[in-house]
Amino acid sequence: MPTEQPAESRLVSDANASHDHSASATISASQQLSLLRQLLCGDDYQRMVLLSQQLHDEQTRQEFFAAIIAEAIAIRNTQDDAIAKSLAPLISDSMHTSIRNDPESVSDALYPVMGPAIRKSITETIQALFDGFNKALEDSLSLRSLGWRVDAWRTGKSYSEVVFLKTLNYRVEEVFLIHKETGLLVHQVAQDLGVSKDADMMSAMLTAIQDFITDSFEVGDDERLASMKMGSLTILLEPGPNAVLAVAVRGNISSDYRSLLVTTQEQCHRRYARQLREFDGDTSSFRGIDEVLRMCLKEELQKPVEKKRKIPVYGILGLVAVLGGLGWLSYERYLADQAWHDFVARLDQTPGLLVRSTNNYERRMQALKDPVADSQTFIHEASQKGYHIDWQTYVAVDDDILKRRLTLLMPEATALDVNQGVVSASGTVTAQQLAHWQHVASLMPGVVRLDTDQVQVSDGGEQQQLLDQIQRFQVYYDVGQHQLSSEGEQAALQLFNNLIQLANTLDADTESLHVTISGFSDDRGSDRLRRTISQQRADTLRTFLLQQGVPARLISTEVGDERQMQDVPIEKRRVSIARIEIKPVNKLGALQ
Amino acid sequence: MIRKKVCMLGAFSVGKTSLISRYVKSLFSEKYLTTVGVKIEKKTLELNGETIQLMIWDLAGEDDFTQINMSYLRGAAGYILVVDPTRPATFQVARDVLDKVSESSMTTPTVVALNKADLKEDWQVDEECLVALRAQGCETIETSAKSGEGVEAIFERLTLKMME
Repeated sequence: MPTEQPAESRLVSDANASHDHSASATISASQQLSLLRQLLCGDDYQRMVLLSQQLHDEQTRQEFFAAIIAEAIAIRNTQDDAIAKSLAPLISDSMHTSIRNDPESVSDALYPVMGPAIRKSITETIQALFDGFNKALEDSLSLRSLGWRVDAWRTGKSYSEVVFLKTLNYRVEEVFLIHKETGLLVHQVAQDLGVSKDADMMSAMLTAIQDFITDSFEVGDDERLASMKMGSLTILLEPGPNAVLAVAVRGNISSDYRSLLVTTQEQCHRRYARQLREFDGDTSSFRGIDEVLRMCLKEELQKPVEKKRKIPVYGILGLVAVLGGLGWLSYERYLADQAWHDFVARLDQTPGLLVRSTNNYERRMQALKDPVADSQTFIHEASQKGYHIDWQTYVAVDDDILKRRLTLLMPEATALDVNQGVVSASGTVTAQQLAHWQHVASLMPGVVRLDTDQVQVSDGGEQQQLLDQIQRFQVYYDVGQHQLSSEGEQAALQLFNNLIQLANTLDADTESLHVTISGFSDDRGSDRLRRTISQQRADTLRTFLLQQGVPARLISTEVGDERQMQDVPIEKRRVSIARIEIKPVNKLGALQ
Repeated sequence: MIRKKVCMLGAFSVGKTSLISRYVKSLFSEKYLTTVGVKIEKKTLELNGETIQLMIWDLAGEDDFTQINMSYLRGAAGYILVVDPTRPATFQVARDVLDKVSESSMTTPTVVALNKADLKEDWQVDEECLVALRAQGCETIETSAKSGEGVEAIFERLTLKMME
């Protein structure tokens, strides 16, 4: 059963109860807030708490960046060169410090690199020296160098300076980075000694001149002096927000050089933005500016005019044509020489013909000819080939020629054989013929002995046979020709032989022989032409007989009466015939 | 090395160029003054262990017909205001010039050269102007381009002020 408490005690108890209730309410609110967070964020809340701890914990941060920094650098490096540019001064400083503190270890580390590098450098230097020496030799010995020396003498410049200017497209002599507001020189790089007398004053004066021009002319705020030119020297100016990049160039600058200036200017302002903005005359903070500006120190030598190596087609063709022509001419000459020498040799080996001298260049020779030798072939060939033969008559003593000559003197019915000057005759002749022939043969040079054992002596009927044979004699010609063919010559020789034999049958004291040769032609051409060629045919045969030794007085010629040929086929009308008259007075003694 | 731009200001014919000529060996011809309106000289000096190079811009003197090209003052680290006390009017010119340059920069160190100290007996100092100049923070140093008195001192003083 409950006992009633005093009022004070109940108040305290209420207070305590109230306090407990309040505490209980506070925990409950915290739990409720926690519950609310849990409801709103779920598991993300715990993760956020964890992330917050990681962000504020230094070691965790270091581990986090350590895990990705290498890959991050690699990725950024593929995108631009900002990391390289940012690290360059740091690396440079680190190297300086490292080398200063411990040069030996750096030297050891670089040893494997420096050795080959030094050797390569020395090799390149020596090569450049040789190249320069070669070029100097080439230049000093050429017409061009002579012109340069004249220029140097005329202008009062040194030869090397003239050579330099003539062989250079352009050369950036000096680069200045000038603080825009103060005109003070931030940095300057130069080739060799540069061109400006004083870079500091040049920078200041250049700034003054820019200001002067800007103030003197109405130009916009963003319009600045871009270049100045005097003679071969050009000053190019590339203004930036806080500095002006100026370069002194000799020669004609290439069009793409301006973009290099812009790039360099941008690089200067990117790397040294703060230093340029807050520049107070102290240039020590521009570390690494030298390398940046040196990128603008360019030079470009004139490229030697490379003559395009064309294949000289026409030249080669011309040369081939000339060589071909020369070869062809040489070959033709060789063939002609061969033909000439062959001709000379053949002629010289022919019985009754003898070469005395030759002029190979003029294709001319002096030759001896026996009247009975076969010379017509050579005469004809010589006329065709343009050879010149100066004939002289001689008497040959070859067996063949002796036989030929003696055969002409012997009656047709006889046969002869000559062997080393021994003449053997066979056949039937008259006693008179035999006696005459023996007489003549004994006087003939080359005849060693006469053998007539095989000769039978007869007495009559022979003269008429000879006359009949001569009466049947005819020599035919080709159309339009009057020269004797080979067959014609054989027939003519036979005629000559018959005439000799006929003469031998005559009594030399009472009888004389006369031959009339008539020439004919076919019915082609005019009368005058036909008469002419008919006469020529008769003359040709007469000449042949004269060459064989028939006295000229015994032979006459005439144009034949065409009526005699009326019944003859046309191809048989081109003919010469002989007509014999035995006269009582004339003699044929001259034949011997 | 630290480079500083210094401008020589003052009325026409107060001796600015003579002071510079006394201080440095000139490289450029004086014709620049009448053509471009400025001639620049250079002087390197050691001060408190520091190497300082002064680029001294000698501006054509101001008179009724010639005004200072304010572009040339841009970026100047200090001014030398030259006055010829033998010509009191040059004090007023100096005041006017100082007023002009103060419009762009109130804090640029300025030293006033009371030149032609060798003719001190002919000086007619405009005390009012002098007081006004000093009131604007300008030190005054007596100089003489003829005798060399105060020439180095004024440049060194200005340099010190610029380096403060």
